[in-house]
Formats: sequence, structure tokens, C-alpha cells
Amino acid sequence: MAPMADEAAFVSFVTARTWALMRTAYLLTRDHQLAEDLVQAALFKAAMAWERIDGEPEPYVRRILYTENVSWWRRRRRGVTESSAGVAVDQADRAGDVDLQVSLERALDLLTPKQRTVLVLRCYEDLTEPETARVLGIAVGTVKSTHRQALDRLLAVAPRLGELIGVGHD
Amino acid sequence: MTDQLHDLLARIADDAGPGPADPTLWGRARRARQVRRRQRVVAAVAAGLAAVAALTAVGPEGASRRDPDPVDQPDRSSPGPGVPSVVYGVPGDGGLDLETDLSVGRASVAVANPTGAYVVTADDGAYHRLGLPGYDAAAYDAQVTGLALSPDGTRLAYGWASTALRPDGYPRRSGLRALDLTTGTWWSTRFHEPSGISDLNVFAWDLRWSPDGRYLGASVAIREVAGQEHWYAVLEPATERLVEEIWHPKQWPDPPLPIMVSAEGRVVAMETDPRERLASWDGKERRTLGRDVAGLSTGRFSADGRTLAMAGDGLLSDIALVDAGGSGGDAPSTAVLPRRRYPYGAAVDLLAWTGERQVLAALRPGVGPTTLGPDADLALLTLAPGFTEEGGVGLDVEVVGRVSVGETRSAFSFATDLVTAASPTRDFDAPPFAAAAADASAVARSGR
Repeated sequence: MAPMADEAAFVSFVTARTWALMRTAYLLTRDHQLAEDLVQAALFKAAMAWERIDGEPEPYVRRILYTENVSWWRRRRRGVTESSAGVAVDQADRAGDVDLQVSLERALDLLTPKQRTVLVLRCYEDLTEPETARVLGIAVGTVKSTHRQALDRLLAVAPRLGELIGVGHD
Repeated sequence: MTDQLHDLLARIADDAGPGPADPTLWGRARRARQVRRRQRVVAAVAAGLAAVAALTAVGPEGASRRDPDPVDQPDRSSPGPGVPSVVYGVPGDGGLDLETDLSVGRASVAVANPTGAYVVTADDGAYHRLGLPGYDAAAYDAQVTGLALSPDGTRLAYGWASTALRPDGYPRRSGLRALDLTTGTWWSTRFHEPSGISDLNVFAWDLRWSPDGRYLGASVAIREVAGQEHWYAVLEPATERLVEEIWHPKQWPDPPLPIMVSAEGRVVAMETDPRERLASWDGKERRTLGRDVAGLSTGRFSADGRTLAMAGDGLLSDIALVDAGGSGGDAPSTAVLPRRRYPYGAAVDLLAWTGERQVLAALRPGVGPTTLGPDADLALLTLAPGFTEEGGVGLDVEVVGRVSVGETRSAFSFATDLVTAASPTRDFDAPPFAAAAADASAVARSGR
């Protein structure tokens, strides 16, 4: 593709798909600014390699989005500690009248970045376990155990979410 | 598992917002690609040249040959990048347009004032007002800055905070960014509260690069309890690594003083025990470097990490030299500013060691016992042999530039690698805001 056509195609892709990318990034990071940073970083890397992308760019960009988020979480020195769940239970139970969405939002905030990423890829992006493992560069067994931990934690933090997850979850 | 979970996640995702709209993204990415390619070519050529040099370095008699150091013989035909001989504080926003394309190129000076962040590009001396994402200029002042330019001028480190505010008015997220001024891209990191639960309200300031630009040190605190809960962090931006966080709060000054980071990543900070000691950490244990350092607040490591040049706040008549490689039992020796030039002393900002016995500093002379002049000397301080009448080592001062601070409430950070003894500063045209101020001043003086 000629350079001008490359730029036009990139701009067209950014215009059409940024919002969809932002939705995933926001679920992954739970923070508007970080979500913007994440999407910006993914688009920047995609632009650098644009002419090498074979076929539709979206899978490529999403893969960057996931892996970039993984590298961000791996850089962190301290994760969410187990004790924070206890604090969250109080908060969620106190707000007995809040709806399921608010409960889920609060619970998501209290997952570790790794747990949240696996949960989003499995339950929002609808990736299979092998696909999730491949994208994140971790073992399928790790995907399974992390997903289970994430769901357990959601239930512990907000028992009302049992309606969504199903008792014992699959 | 039900579809309900998917649907609920989708509803939460609806809050994501429109996302970044950056029309410069494509251009920045392509420039970054070109820079990377060029770096690869240069690395390959350098590797080839190194191989050739290794083959030719040994002469017929086995004596090694070496080309002169390029610093010794600067190429005068091409002026190259440089620090301006006059650096101006920026009044207000300086009338400059806000730039969102941050790939302005290598900078010689960074300027922070309460309205924003500015850099002076090294090749042309132009001032740029940068739209740094998340930079909160109002959170800092001329003493406590949230900006630091790397010694080579290619990276600008700054404290950032999320623009989204919590109900109590504090930012949701905050941390530190290292912006590459040649590509406009940045590395972003966050610090966490002591509980490890969150990085809410964590605030980084007093950023310091190591002499070789490899490490970046920062003071970190929680906003609500700044001065009580604080610690230090050392980062390695090139590898995007948080190297170390150092906790030792009980003996640290309140608020904490800037840390100093050596080229090996060694960290030195002040303690406030009765003997006012300086202590260093190697990542595992602390070691006392010197005692009786009361009044000193910050300094700079020499390139070999053996000496610390240090200064305190207020008007000073000397600087302190700490033997950072010694046993740690000694008080620092002093190097005395020439009294003829600085009769009331000077506010001393030590910037970097530029040679084995030479330090670059900004010296803002006192014009009275407690009054500072409007401008600072950008000066090379060379340790003289022998001792002065005051009992310290003498300092030869070569003024190589001027920093016009005035009433601008500006703080400065310099690309100190660009200042060499052979080519310390360059002459550039004054920026428009300085020229306009000079015109106004001339009109006022003429009484018209």
C-alpha cells in the first residue's frame, strides 16, 4: 500500500474502532486515563507496524492491547492484597440496595489486574481458554485457575453476583 | 455462567468514554519507526567500526593508538545542539501555543512554572509549551518541581495524575512518566500506597536523574499525609523497570529532601538523627557516608560515584564535598565561592559534574544579606589546588551563561551533557516573550 493510503486506512480504522477498543481497555484497567493510555499505546504500535499487518488490523491491535496491559501489570511491584477483599465485603454489603451493575463494578475494582484481564477476555471478549492463554502468554491451567479465583472473588466481595455467575460457576 | 455477566460487563464498558483523539499519532509513530531504524543502522555501523578499530588499534610496535576525544576537538563548523547562553524563565504561558505533538526533539532546558511545562529545543533554542498528559503544574512550585530533563536532553520525566477526580477532589491515579522527546512516546508507571492496595493519591516530585541518565530517582508521598508517609523510588526508564522503593520513614526529614542517585544506581539520602548523617543504600543495607551535614539538602554524584558535591538552601558562601567512597566517619570538606564575585553568597543549584574537578551550577547571587538578585549565573566551578583563608578548597568560577529568573516563578532543569568545557553554551535569539518584555522595559526606562 502507498504511504498516503496507509495513513488514510489507519485513520479510518482509528475513527471506526477506537470506541470499541476503549470499552475493552476500560474494563481491563478500570480507569479512564489508563484506558486512554492503553489504547493510545496499542494504536501507536500498530501504526509503527501498519504495512506489516496481514489482513484485518483489529485482531492485531487487540492483541497489542492485551499484551500491553499484561506488561503493565507485570511491571507493578505490589498487587492487590488479599486483605483488601475484607474491606470490599463491608463496602458491598453496606450498599445492599445498589444494583448488580454497581456491585460488579466495585468487585471488578478489587480484582488483581491479572484476574480482571482473564475475566474480561473470557467473559466479555468471549475468548476460549486456549485463546486467552495464547494471547496472555500463560498456560491454559493458569487461565483456568485465575478465572476461577476471579469468579470466587467476585462472589466473596458481592454475593449478589451469584445470580450472574451461577452457584459453583462453570 | 450466564450471558447476563457479559451484558453487565458491556454496560460497564459503556462508561469508557470516546477515547484518545490524537491527530499526530500516525506521524509520531512513523517518526519513531524511522528513529528506530536509524538506531539499528547506527548500531550495525558502530559494531562494524568497532570490529575494524579492534583490528587496527595495535600498531607495529604493539602500542595502542587512539583518536582524540571528540570533546577535546569540537567541530566548530557545525554548531550542533547546545544550552542557550541566556535561559529565560517563562512568564505565565509565555504567549506560546500549547503543543500536543510532544516529539519536539532533543531539549537543552526544561522549565516549569505554575502554568505549565516548557522545553527549549537544543538545535534551535526555541521554547515549546508542552501539553503533557496528566501534568499538574499547579501542584508544584519553584522549589519542589515535578519535571526533570535527562542529562542528554532526550527524555523528560514528570509526575502525572489522572484528570478524573474522585468525589473528594483527589486524582484517581497518579505516578511518573518518562517522555521520549524524540518520538513523543512515554513510559508510565504508578506507585502504590504503603498498604499495597492502591495507587490513589500517590504523588511523585523532586525527580533526579543519575549522572549517566540511566536511573531516575523520585520522592513519593501520599497527598493526604504528605510529610508523614513518604518514601523514595528508583526507576530505570530505558528498561521500564521500577528498580527499588526505599522505606525508612522515621529518620527522614519531614518533608523529605531529594535523593541523589549515582551512575551505579546507588542512592543517598539525608537522615535526621542527632548527628545529621548522610546514608546510602545499595538495595539491601544502609551505610553512613558522612556526619555533620546539617544545612545541606541536596547534591550531585561525580561520574565515578566517589564524590558528592552538596549544597543547602538560602545564600551560601561554599559548597560541601562528601567522600562517598570513604569510611563515612568524616565531616564534608568545603569549597569556597570567590567572595569578590559573591560578597553576599549565592543560592546554589548544583547541576552536574562536568569533569573530575569541575561542577556545573546555577548560582543566583545575593544582592543583600537576605535578598536574591533577579538572574543566576550558569557557571563551571573548578576546584582549585590549595586552601583558602577560610580553610576550604578554592573555587574558580567561569560564568558560561545566564539564567533570567525574574518574577516568573520558574524552575529549570538542564541537559547537562550538552555543557562541556570546550563548548559550554550557544547563542540563540531570545524567545518572543523575552524580547517583548525587554521592549516594555526599554519603553518604561525612556519615560515614554
